[in-house]
Amino acid sequence: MNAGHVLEVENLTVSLRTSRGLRRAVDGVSFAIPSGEILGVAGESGSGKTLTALALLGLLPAGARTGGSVRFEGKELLGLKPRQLREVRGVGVSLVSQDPMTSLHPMLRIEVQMTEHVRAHLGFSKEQARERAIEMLGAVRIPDPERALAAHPHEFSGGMRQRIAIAMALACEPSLLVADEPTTALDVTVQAGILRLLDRLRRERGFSVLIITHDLGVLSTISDRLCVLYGGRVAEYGITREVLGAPRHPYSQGLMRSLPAASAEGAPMVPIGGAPPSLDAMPAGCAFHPRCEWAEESCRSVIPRIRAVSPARRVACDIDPFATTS
Amino acid sequence: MSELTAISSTPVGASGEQSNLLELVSVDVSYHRRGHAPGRAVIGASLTVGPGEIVGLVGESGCGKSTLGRAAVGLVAPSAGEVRYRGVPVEAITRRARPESLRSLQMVFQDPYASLNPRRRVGKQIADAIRLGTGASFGDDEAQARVATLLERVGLSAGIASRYPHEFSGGQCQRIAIARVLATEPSCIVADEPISALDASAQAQIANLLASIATESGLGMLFISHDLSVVRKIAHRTVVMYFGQIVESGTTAPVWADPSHPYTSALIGAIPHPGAHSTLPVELSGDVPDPAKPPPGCRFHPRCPVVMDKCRTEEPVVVAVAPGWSSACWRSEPRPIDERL
Repeated sequence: MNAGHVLEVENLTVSLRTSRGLRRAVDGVSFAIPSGEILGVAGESGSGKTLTALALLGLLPAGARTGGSVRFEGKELLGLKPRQLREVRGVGVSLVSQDPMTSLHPMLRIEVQMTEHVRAHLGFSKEQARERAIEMLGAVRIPDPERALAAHPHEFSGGMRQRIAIAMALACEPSLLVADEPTTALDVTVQAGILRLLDRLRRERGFSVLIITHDLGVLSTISDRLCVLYGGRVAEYGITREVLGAPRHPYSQGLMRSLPAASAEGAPMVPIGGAPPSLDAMPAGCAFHPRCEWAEESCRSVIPRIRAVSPARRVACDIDPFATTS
Repeated sequence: MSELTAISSTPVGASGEQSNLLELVSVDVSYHRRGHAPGRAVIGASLTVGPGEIVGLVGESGCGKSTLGRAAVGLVAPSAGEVRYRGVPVEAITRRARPESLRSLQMVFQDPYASLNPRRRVGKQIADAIRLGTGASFGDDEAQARVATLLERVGLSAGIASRYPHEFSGGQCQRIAIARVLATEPSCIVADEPISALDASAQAQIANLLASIATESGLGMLFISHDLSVVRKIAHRTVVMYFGQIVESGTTAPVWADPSHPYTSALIGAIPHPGAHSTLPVELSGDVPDPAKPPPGCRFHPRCPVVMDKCRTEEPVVVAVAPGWSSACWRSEPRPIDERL
């Protein structure tokens, strides 16, 4: 495909073993991240957004099956042996998870956690690794990095811990950072700081980011491109300000309309009715049809094909009720 | 609203402000740990909730908003100050039955999976609440009919009464939890982060449901949330807490349009706005201070973008910005009538 893309995901499928047999939780997801860009993946629970991220990192639960292709810097990641994956994870692609308390070891000093992978992956000496750790802690604006290295995770606030987790993830200078709900557990004031930090660092250091969240507000402020997932499939994909400025899929339209700021002053919010489907009860046809006010007979049986509606925009809706507005 | 109800039948002065359902007066809550100085989670907080009124309580995590909410229903005992519900002091909950006078003061919790009994059918749980909350006794048929009405009221079908909580999504469970609260025929509800554990599309559904319950049934609601944009949408009044203290409170629209306290401004500026022309939100530097070592003077001064010398040493007094609108900041000033919207 394109040499300027750090990551190319094509027709990715992830199947999970459930009590009722193998179920496809991610079904034909495709997207690409141009070098240096931030791609936002939006979706509710059960949309497949976290499984997509875990598939990129080879961290899927045991028994999960994958199909399709995930190419990182041109190299296929699906089907790699654990040892080969280890050479990519942490060095080429690294992960920042939602809760920094789960990504940081509570009993180890920050120094141990921030230097171990640098020494293992990059062959740094203890001194070099320590210098890199101090540099990274400075880059994420931890006051007094030297003292921070000697501390344990519990001595920091939630926002500071997430900064440390980001510093750790960036210590081996990966070209892709996968951030799974990195600010969901944080206060808005702290979230604002983390978003600004991510945006500044990727400009300074030139890495790409895949950020996953259900919060369209977060994505609209930071992501260049947006991929809206529903029921394991891509509903809409395009440049963030175009997608959020004029959503074209009924689901993305519904998400935008349900936001508190979208409804008129004094009027109630306009939520999407119903709830996202569970893996065991995925509707036939378009997964969104039971909640869609535009659904027609064909939506109940035919899975809509995703198609390009403009050079940078893809939509998976056969009815396409917002075609004229965008 | 309070002006209107004040003219009604109750003699003024006899029992204070009868128009308020819930009244918290200078409430302090301290937590004691062995070997540590007592931590003051809430300091001198006063607020009121009237019938049909939604009061939004906002602030960062650790600011004491949940503790204040728990004190309001008697889940924690205040170390000073008073909590009154319909003029009756709210006593801390003990192992004994709750006094009848307090049974219509109820709470909705953040995580519906944790607040519902996982091993009891949802219909039974709701029927329990009718019996315990209202003292009514009735047979199974009657129970079924009452449960059906409640389930329909919260937007669920009556047929789900025989199912268990794990069969539902988070949003549906929160509806069930709300139905169970409504079963007690409450006149005041304290909702502690009722939507923050839910999916994006369920958040708006539940917020709308709570708002319509308050306005249609005329019950008062203290809506605690860190989601400021939802509070802006549904709350009549907004109360902002920082580090245990209420720093600003007033009618939602004017407070949001032009906040008087710099902390309120910072909170509003930090909200990301989705849309075609979104910019990065404004950062509020620093962290909430260590509760064991509160800063001298104004508690917000180490993070305040407009701090003055006075703020570092002297605790600010509460200024009446306008009637019903107060702010605890040295820079806050009463506003002339024409600026008040």
